Amino acid sequence: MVSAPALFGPIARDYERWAALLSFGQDPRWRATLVAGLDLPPGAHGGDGLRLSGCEFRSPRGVGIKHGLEGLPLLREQILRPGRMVGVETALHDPMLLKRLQPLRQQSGRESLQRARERAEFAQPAIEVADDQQHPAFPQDVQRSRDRTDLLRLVDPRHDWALSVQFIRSRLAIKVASTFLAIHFSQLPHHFPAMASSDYRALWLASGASAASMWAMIMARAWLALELSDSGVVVGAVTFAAMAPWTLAPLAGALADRWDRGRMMMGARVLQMALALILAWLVLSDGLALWHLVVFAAATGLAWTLERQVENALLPNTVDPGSLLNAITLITFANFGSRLVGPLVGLPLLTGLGRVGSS
Amino acid sequence: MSVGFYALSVLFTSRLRLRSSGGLAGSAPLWRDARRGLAEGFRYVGANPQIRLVIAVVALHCMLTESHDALLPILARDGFDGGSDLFAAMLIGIGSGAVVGTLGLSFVRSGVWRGRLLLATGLLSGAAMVWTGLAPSPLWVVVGAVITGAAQAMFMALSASLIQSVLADQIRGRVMSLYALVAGGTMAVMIFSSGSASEVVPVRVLLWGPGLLFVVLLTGGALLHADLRRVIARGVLYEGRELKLAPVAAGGRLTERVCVDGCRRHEACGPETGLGRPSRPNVVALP
Repeated sequence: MVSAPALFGPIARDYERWAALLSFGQDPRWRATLVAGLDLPPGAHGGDGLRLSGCEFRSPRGVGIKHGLEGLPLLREQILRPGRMVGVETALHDPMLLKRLQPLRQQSGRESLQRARERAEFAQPAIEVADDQQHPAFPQDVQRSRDRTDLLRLVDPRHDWALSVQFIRSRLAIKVASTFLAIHFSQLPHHFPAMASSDYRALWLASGASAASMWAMIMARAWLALELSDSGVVVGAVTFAAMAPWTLAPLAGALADRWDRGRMMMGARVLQMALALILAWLVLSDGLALWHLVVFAAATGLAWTLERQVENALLPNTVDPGSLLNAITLITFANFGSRLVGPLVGLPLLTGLGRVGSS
Repeated sequence: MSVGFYALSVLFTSRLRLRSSGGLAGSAPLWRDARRGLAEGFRYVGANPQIRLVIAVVALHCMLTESHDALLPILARDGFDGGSDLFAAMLIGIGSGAVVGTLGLSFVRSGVWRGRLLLATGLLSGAAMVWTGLAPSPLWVVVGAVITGAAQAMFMALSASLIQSVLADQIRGRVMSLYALVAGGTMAVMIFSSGSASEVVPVRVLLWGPGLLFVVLLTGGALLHADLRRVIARGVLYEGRELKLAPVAAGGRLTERVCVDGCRRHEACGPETGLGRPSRPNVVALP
């Protein structure tokens, strides 16, 4: 029995943690489905890496899905035994390996899978990689593997069959992607009942995107104001201009009770997009003045106020009453998440454009 | 980038198939109609003590525990001789806490828990401000910021869902905009006031003082105020009473209050029948 931490090593542990967090604990199920998607021959056994290594890997034939190169040597040493078939999926991208696997890429489909099984030389690079633990470059390989997403299948040559790389890279990739998406969306309503409504999903995505753009805009506006004026007071004034329309929220709420809410929301967002476009054009053409910024801040704030009030009014119409709490918390989650994402994405862009660096 | 995100939001908005509008008749000029609608919103809130109560609690919460925006940079600078790094860490802490808190809350299914969680997150929000105000080291401040973010985001989401779950579609926009105005308005006033007060009062006191006051007030309210106690225990507003609005064609105005579903608050509702419902609903015409 191999303990999971010993098997995966520090990088893989991080991966597992992130996978669990980002998939809301669904990653084992996804991986199991992914293994099932391989259409393994009879007797093969599937499961995620943790289960294969720790508990369930007892069948004579097995396939493990494993991310992370660092686990390979340990897998080979402690799990792979003659007579067992193990496919290891890793995030390795090695030019030499790719070159050697090139002939197999020409094949496709399940027939080619059978042919690929006969090509033992295919797996030789895997052994080289696996034995590379003592190689001085191994840590760098591991480091590189963290950043690469190309999926290859490395197969132990002692086993009687192999999987075609072409199969992995074409059909399986499509299958995996579609399975992930299908499971992802089919599981959403289970955990988040509000997501069962397509209208709510659209509203949620739109709200998240809109909030991200708003927070990026707030950040960019503040930097631009500082660049133009070099004064904290002016930055405060521009921010105030954006927030002042919030006092008109009751008026926006009354309008939301009078007109079609979907169209009002669309109008508010199109207006904000148009304003952002004009602002971008002014910045890129070096025609931006301070008064432009104040006017844009006020207009964007007005549209934002309208959008928020309309969204508040529309939200309960998109879900059944029992899912309302779920709907509200998910929208709040999207807004706060966007508050982090917008500036995180926007700041490097600003820096890249020299807007921050020059201030 | 902002344009790209806006384009995405427009794309997703275009996928909304739902058509929804409130019950405000649109024959009068826009400004007059909006003004009348606004008055209707106030009347609606005024006629419903439980909605009024929740909005008042939210106002207190925003006033006493959400004024940290102006105080945290001062705390970072004066309290810990820190710079923008510490302030940024606090802001990230608040944001991360909010993300985690709301995500956790999204797994809550039962409406009953809504009231209890409202109390718990309200108390936690006040306690987090006390924690932050008394924190001996930057690390503790950041931890306090995470708790603050989580508790406040959850509290606001819970209070909004309590109100939204009982509002009629016709008037939802008007009432929720009042809620937003009260929440945002009190917060803005307190941010300004506490920022000014920090010139004469130590910033730590401005953090833990109002936080503690909110904890005391909410605890007192939960113990002594019958309506608040009921909301906390049941996680739902109204308890059988409904506010009726005129049909859309008639302007969607607030006309009457109907007591149904086991109301025991009014004499006119009569004794409960064997089915646990009043024998006849009590209709109260509103002025």
